[in-house]
Amino acid sequence: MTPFAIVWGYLRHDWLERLLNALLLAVAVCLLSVGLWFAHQLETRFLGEIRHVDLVVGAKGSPLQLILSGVFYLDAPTGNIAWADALRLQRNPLVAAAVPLSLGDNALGWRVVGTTPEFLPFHQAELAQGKLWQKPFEAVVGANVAKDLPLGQEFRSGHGLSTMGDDNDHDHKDHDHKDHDHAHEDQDHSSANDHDHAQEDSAATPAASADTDPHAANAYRVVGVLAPTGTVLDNLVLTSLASVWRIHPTDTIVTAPASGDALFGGLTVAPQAADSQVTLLLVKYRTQAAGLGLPRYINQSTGMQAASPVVEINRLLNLLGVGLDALRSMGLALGIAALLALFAALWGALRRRRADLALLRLLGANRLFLFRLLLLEALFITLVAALLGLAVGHLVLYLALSGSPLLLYADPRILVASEWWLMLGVLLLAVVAAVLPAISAYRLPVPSILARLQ
Amino acid sequence: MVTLASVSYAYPGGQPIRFPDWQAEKGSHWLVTGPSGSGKTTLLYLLSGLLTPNTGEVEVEGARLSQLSERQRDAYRARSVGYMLQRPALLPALTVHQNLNLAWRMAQKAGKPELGYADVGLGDFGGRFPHQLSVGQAQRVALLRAVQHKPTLLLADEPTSALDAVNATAAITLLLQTVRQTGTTLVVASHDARLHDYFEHEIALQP
Repeated sequence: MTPFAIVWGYLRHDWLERLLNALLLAVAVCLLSVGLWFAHQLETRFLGEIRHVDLVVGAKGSPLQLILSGVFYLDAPTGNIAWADALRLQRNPLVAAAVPLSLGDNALGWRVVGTTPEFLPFHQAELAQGKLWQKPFEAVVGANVAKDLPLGQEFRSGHGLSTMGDDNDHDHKDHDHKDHDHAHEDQDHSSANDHDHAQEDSAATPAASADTDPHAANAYRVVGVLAPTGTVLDNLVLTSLASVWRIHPTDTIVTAPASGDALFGGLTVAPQAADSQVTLLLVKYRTQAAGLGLPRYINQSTGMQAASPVVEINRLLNLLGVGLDALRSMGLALGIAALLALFAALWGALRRRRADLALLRLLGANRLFLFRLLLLEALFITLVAALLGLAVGHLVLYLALSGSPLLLYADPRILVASEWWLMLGVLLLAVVAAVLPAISAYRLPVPSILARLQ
Repeated sequence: MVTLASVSYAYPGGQPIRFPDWQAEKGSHWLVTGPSGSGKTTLLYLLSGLLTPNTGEVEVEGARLSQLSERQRDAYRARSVGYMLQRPALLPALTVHQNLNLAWRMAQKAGKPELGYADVGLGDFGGRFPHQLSVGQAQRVALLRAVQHKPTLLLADEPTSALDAVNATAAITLLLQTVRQTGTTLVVASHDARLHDYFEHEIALQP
């Protein structure tokens, strides 16, 4: 008979009361862990993603949407901007570096990003394997994507930002269309900005038939893999702008050889600058002071929109923060109530079991043994409750996030550091709740209790 | 051998109880009598090491109990003493088997006890909980718990007071029979007059 066997006997004996104690505590741990997990993801992951990007320039629309699509690859873009405008902005003296992005396609659900080789140094990303793209339809993939699309793998892209399944045929058209209604609405506001992808969605267009869909006709090949960054870069398929332009050639006149512009990074084809479009431009300021004038200049004097990730994300965090604070306060209040209930339960158990504990002393158990019994019981209830709370909390997170692109950022199966502290804190508080009853057990006046028993 | 020399004990705020000097041979059977408050139970606590005397010395098998630390006296009680109470105090949350096993482990014994349910006239009640036993059955389990580790000293506080005549006779007969088997020194504290005939030795405590 170990102390734990005795504790187990008593837990079974008072199972309903102990179960209620554990459930109350588990609900509190559940709320707190969900709150902590979300707060951690928002504060560290979200802010971590934006550290390289001072400004995002894209088509006019919602600035938050521009940030979400351009920095987090979550939402649909607000539309396209003219390549010529992007180039002009890149030469602005306030701009230290600018990287154009062309979005709209996916490969096995991973986002395909047409960009220039500057994308890598801009994000301080490095190649782990292979080389950078040299020709159209060569791709460099992020560390997570490499699990699906390893070095040397050929693949076809599909139209749409997220899902297309594992097929490269055209069954995905229907839901792609739905996915991007929103994008097209935004994009259709100006005929000059009309998105090239729109053409494909018309069944009447001969080019949209299965045999001639440029997505199906052009196979990409993985030529490089990025080192893991712990950011959304791990989930991207990077390729040249030319690849995207070739698949969506509405505004693109293919000329060969390359114009020699450094932005094209050795492309053998180049768009005719006047007509081509990109989705947005990521900008790094030359000096912090640029943040004062440049966004205003862009928003007022050009047809484009500039949005600062820091400003937009902090606005988002402030909005969400209220909800998180409420969740945390509720979890804390429940946690305190649960620990008080645990204390009351242990104290009650001690009073009911005084005769049993005195009997244990009579059988030769020392004081420390009784102290350990009560502590062990509290710790066991708390540990079960904490594990249950964490498990349910993360299951809820997993179910709530399943199918959401947020999953790209954070895996609900992984505990964040603050949750380990939560576990430790709850166990320590359980010890605090148990220590008074345990001391009382330690100092049990055995003869007087046995006298009453007789 | 159990020896009491000039022993007295006072509960906090109470009058000191003085105990007669006393020597008990190993394996002898003693009945402690006296009116309420004369110190019958206190004498058992002193012999078990649960209390230590204010004056004098209690010696069991050469060990002076007051010179042991509290932990050593706890260990002595677990290994060398069996204890029976008026009510068969079993832990309600544990099965009969677990109750027996708990005491066996506390006595630091390995393996299995030689004495079993049959030795106290019980079937295999190991899987039952105390509330599933009759008082008589529970008292037999308590007896088995007190003697299974073959203690030097078996202390019984009013073991028959709660029983009717027939059961009391059966209980005391079983108790004596069992301690004869194990060679244990038996000290029974009781005001039950029915027990006089069963004991060759008696200590009469004065109020």
